[in-house]
Amino acid sequence: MISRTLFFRLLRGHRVRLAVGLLVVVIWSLLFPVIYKAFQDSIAGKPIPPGAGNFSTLAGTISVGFIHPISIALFGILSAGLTVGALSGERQRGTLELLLSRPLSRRKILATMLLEGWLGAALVSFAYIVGTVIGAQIAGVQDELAFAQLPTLWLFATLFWGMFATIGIAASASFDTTAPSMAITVAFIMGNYILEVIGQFWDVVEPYRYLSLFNHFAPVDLLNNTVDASAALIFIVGTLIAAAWAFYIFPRRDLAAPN
Amino acid sequence: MSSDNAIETRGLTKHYGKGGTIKALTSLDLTIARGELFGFLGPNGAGKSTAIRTLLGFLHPTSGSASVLGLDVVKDSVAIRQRIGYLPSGFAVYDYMSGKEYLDHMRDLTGRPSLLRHRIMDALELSDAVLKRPVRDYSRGMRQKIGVVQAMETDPELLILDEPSEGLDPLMQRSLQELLLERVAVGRTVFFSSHLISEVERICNRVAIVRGGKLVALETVATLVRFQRRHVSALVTRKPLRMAGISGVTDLKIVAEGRAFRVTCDAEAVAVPKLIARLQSAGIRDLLVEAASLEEAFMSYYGDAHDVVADIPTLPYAPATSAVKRATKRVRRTPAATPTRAAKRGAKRPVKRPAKRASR
Repeated sequence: MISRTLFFRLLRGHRVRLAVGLLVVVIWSLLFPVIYKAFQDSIAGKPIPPGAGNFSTLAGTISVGFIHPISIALFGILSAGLTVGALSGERQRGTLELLLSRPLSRRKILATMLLEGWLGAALVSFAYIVGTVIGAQIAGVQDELAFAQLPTLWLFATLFWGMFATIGIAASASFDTTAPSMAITVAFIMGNYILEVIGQFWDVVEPYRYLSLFNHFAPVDLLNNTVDASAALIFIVGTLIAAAWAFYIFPRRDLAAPN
Repeated sequence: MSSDNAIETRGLTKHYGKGGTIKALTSLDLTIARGELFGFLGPNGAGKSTAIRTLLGFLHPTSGSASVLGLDVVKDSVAIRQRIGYLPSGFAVYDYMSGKEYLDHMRDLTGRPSLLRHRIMDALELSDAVLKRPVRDYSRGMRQKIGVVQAMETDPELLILDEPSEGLDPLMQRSLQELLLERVAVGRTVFFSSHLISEVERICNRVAIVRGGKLVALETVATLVRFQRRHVSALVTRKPLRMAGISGVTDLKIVAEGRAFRVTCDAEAVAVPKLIARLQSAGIRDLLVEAASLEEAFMSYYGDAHDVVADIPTLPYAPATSAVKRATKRVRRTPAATPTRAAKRGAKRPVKRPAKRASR
């Protein structure tokens, strides 16, 4: 189903990005429990100010962190970022031709590259949760953290970003250079994100928020043990559609060295 | 399609673009027997790489069929790639790896042991120390050597090499040619494209010439050369008579040179004895008959208006073993020709050919 040799070569090629990226994610995510504690201390004994939003609970603060633009960038780089240039990048560099000359089916190559993207999604989600736990320990708010819900949060985050990694490989399989596949994937993620964010503030857009995939990823609900299984279904369907396209188009394309 | 053939194509066609407007390859019929060293000639854009990439399953044929080692190129592409070695034109590598890591990686992807790595490294003067360096530090020639090693090291049944001499110096080109002859001598098949005609002439049994995506010649090198014109230059004491009347003689020029006459012309092989007899009657002082080269055969297809194979009679194909022996001798005897020298040659005149010389 996959090529282990290719898989480890891909990981090796991305090892610096993964190592540095995951470290940054841990550091970034541990800030949120600390921020939450500082916020709680600053309003101790006072009524919660209007606009305090999700910062009023640890789960809410962690949720804000998950969909912060910096988090989106980090999650994107370490999941969809691994797949978006996987095939089109090899094609652009001229290394795809030699890879295809080995006794590997195109589907096997694609599956291996997709697996790397999913591994990235799983690792970045795990790193984020590890950072959150460390941050809660540092801030002394570990009692407020729903440890039992963390595996579910990890699973949903992995499904969510794994879906974008699959969209990334589908785009990568469709183009000969990285620029268009990158542009399509980034535009898709940003479009969904902007729809969700704008929908929170603009009544005209609000009814369409459900169309955004970000609308279905709600870490605060997961941490509060109100799991919506339909969200997982949406992520799985999104993944299957993108994967079906990738596995359909890649074996049918004419592929060779760059002209 | 016969499993006795290494490569067989029937009407193989590849057109690109909307409505197939770009005709990269049109109705290619090719049969390459196992154990052959086959040259695929044509300038850039002639369709050589398209044909190779179609054989390897990178491109899907528009029409026609092809088999490699008896297997269909569309249905059995993975099984084919298990048994071949391939060097693409414009070989690219993963820059973050060392040479050794790269070779190990490609070998592992192939799933066969590297039986010939050190033999090839020795021949191409690649040391273990060089292989430890990152590939990004390699020169163009070094990268090409790595490409040759990865294609050949598992001793595949069929080697498909697209411009293998690219970037190699003349000495390394010679070493590569000897390696290829070695593989053919032990029963392997080599199919390689080149625009270095001297290289193909030196080592190949047979050659195909493509032009505009179409096959214009498919013959043994000897046959292609045999039917080319000879260049004759003679110094005679008296003005020769009735020279223009000899059938098969063209471009005849007779110029006074001191008290003698310089006669130059092109002649078909059958006309040469009669031509020499006439010159002899005029008193030959010096005679040079230049044999034709593959380059001239090639240029005749590109310089003139030939469009089909029809001009060249088909002769029985010589067995690979004897052809390999002849080619091996040629490699050892003939000095190397660099791409630059080859490029500097005139379209019609070779720089250096074995010549039959008689003088008085």
